[in-house]
Amino acid sequence: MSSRNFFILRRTPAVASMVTAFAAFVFAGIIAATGPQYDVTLLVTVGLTSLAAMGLTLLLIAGQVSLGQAAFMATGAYVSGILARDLGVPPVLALMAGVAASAGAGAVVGAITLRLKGHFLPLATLAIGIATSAAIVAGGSVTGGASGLGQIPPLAIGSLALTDDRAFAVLVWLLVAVFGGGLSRLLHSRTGRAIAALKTDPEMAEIFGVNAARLRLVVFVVAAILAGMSGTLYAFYFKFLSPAPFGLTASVNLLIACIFGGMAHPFGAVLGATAIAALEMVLQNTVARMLGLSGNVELIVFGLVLICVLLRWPGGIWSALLRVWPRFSVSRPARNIELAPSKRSTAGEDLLSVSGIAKNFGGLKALQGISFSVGTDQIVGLIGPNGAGKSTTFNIATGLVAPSEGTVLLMGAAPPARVSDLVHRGVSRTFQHVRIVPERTVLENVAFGAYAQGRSGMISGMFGFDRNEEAATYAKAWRALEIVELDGLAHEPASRLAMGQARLVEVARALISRPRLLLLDEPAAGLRTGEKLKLVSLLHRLKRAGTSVLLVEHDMDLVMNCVDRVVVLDRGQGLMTGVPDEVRRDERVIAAYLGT
Amino acid sequence: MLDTLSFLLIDGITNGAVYGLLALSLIVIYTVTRVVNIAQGEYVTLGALSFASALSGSFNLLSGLVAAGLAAFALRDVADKHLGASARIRVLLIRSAWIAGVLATAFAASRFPGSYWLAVLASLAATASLGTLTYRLTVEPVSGASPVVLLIVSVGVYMVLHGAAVLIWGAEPRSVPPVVEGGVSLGPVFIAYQSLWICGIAVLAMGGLYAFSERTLMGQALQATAVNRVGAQLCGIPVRLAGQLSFAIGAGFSALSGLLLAPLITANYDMGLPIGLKGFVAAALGGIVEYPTALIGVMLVGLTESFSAFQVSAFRDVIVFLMVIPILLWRNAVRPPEAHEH
Repeated sequence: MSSRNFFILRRTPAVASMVTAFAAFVFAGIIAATGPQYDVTLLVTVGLTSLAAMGLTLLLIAGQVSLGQAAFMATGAYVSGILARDLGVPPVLALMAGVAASAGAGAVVGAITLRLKGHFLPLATLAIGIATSAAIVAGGSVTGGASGLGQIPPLAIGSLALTDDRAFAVLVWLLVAVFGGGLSRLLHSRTGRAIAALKTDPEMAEIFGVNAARLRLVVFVVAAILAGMSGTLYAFYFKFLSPAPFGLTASVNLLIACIFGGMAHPFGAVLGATAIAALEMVLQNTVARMLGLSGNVELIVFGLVLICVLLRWPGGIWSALLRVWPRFSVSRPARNIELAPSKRSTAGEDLLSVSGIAKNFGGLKALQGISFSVGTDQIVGLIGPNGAGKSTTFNIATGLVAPSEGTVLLMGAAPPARVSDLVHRGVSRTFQHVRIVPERTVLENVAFGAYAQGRSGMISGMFGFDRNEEAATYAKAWRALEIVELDGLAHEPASRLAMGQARLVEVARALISRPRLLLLDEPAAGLRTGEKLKLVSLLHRLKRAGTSVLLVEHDMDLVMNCVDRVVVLDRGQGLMTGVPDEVRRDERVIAAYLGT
Repeated sequence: MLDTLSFLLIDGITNGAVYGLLALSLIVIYTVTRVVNIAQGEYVTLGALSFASALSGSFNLLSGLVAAGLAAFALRDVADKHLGASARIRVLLIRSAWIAGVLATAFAASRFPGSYWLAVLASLAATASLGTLTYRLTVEPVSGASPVVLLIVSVGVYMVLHGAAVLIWGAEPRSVPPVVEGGVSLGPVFIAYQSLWICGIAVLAMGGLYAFSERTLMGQALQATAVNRVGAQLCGIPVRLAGQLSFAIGAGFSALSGLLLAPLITANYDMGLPIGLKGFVAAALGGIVEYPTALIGVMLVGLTESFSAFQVSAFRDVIVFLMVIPILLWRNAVRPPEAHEH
């Protein structure tokens, strides 16, 4: 895999998206201009499928599966069709209303169903999809029912009507190029990194300031908008609507396009939709016309191709092409920047102060009467045997778990109600079990840490209004990687990292959020001796730069070598607090660790 | 009024029992392999159609195809170089007996046309074996892939099976006799014996599966794999065998529901998909992972379907399918599924 071509562009990976989008548009344009009528219709159909499937790909990238995406196509199609035909609304306004209706439907369905976990979401969307097409059939007086809704007027602005099929095809593929390019660019922007983090681990995403529920809803609505756009254009192109093209089959076909093409990238959807159409055409020509076999043989062959391709490349056609496709990453900037905490703390101030906390799980007293504090420019170690309550203390300190008794003050105030506000308080953390996004590069994983400092959203991520912010983010990411001495691995996919390296990437990701207080959850687990020494010197450098650290760790040597104070827990109780030398000599501590 | 009500009630319960078998199939397959099996309804079709041809005395082509597939895998398994001599012989014997069983039931059924239970046996042997073949061909090679990829692969399987059903049996529907003709009149209400059979066999099958998974080692292995794949593997439970078994059970149960339902709606190549979908809804109500809740789900779906058919028929499917949402929300709040499979 390492023999792959490697292109490092000065700007951003987005250039690749632009080129791909432009190429797709030019290719479609040539077919639209020169192909026979049959091809033009096919081109429009493939374009419309691509548009809706792209949205679905975005959903998949965010870790959600929808089996009812065609319902949003139906919403767009029927709303604009009925408005333009029966209510005399100008077609362009009807088109906008159709897209808006899909967005609204997406927001409502999303708000209701996105709290569903695991496989409940696909089941819920499946049900909504089937119910929607059943409702179209049942609501015949408005929708035309099973017999359909005909004579939809052409798309027009004033007296200028878009009646030419070829021009329509160009319009559709212009949208495919714009949104395909936009979504691909989005994936490597601030919001895109958050979407990928959301799929890997929502809790981790929240630590860095992502409002997971909101982002999930936004992604769902964007997918619904793209489906709606596809639906309204369908209505104005074919000028006839019936429930069949928006049923379960349509939803499943969209999903097939995404998976067959490759769900890692929006252009995978375009590739999938195109490949399916091409395959169908080939099958019709060979199986049906030349061999004279029935349509069922076509179905069987299509199924076999689908199965075989996915067995060979579970990542779809896109992943097969990726082997020869250059990879793009962001090069190291010339300038050097400082990565110090966002706000300097005043001396003597407690960043974290825990007093008298207790936690009961039912009848079990997990923690009792723990008090300690982390001051400015301090490294505090939290140690104790397994089951001593270290993790619970850690979670209470960050507000993930509410204590049964006692108070926690973070920067002098109660922990924020929402986890996603923690980073704004100047707190960041790493995780005991590494939580990085395996399919992204090391550099991108670190860059995600700067999420809370950024402002640019979905639109600027899609259309490139975030250049300055991105440049600054990547400059910081490079700096953070230099600090943990992993800049040599910046362009590697995070999935290839060894455990120790992955932990250091987590540290770099936390650093880039410029925390005043850094919480490290067993950072040395899985590190080799040399790496541990590096970690110790790193912690010292951080302290000098003004970051305080709370360290939960098993490795006694490491803790004793770098902390200012140690808090020892045993069986849920605070055993002692002191400087390393005191703790090392304390008989209670020795007893707790070695057993008496 | 009362007789209409009781008619609808019986109709609903009969439908519920059929969906129940489907839901159970989906649940067993999903929990063990994480495949949301879109192709499930096709086993209903194949069960009914191969039953019809076995009953009419013609050799069931499906049995032949399945035996050939089994033989191919048997050759591969026996050739496995990790096997010792005695294990090789054991594998060879087991596989041969299995293939012989599939072929023997098919031959016997064609020798004695019209013998009901022989045809049932032939049909179930063929479809259950087809289930294991499907698993080995399309799930095992990508068992680590994301669930949505597995789902799309199952769509591919649906296409192949659906097309194959038409190629083998043609598009004309076939009428299939019930277990016992006629029915019983309870006052004004007529109950077809077939309805009773459907309910009885559904209950027996579910009870059998329950006993199997609680009482036998194999069943325990199945449960363990369902709870935690990796953990089960580490404990030495043959996860691949559990996968094959789950597909065999799923395919067999679905085929059973197909051949039982066929007398009421005639067997045809298109019967599977709608039944499979209703099974999905029923299973969804149980959150796909729990048998008892799924049973309440199937009865709810069956009853809602027949009652709303009588009341506001146009919106029947809308009601049945929208019912899923509030119940999923409730289930999600009470006991959410594991958020991450990997």
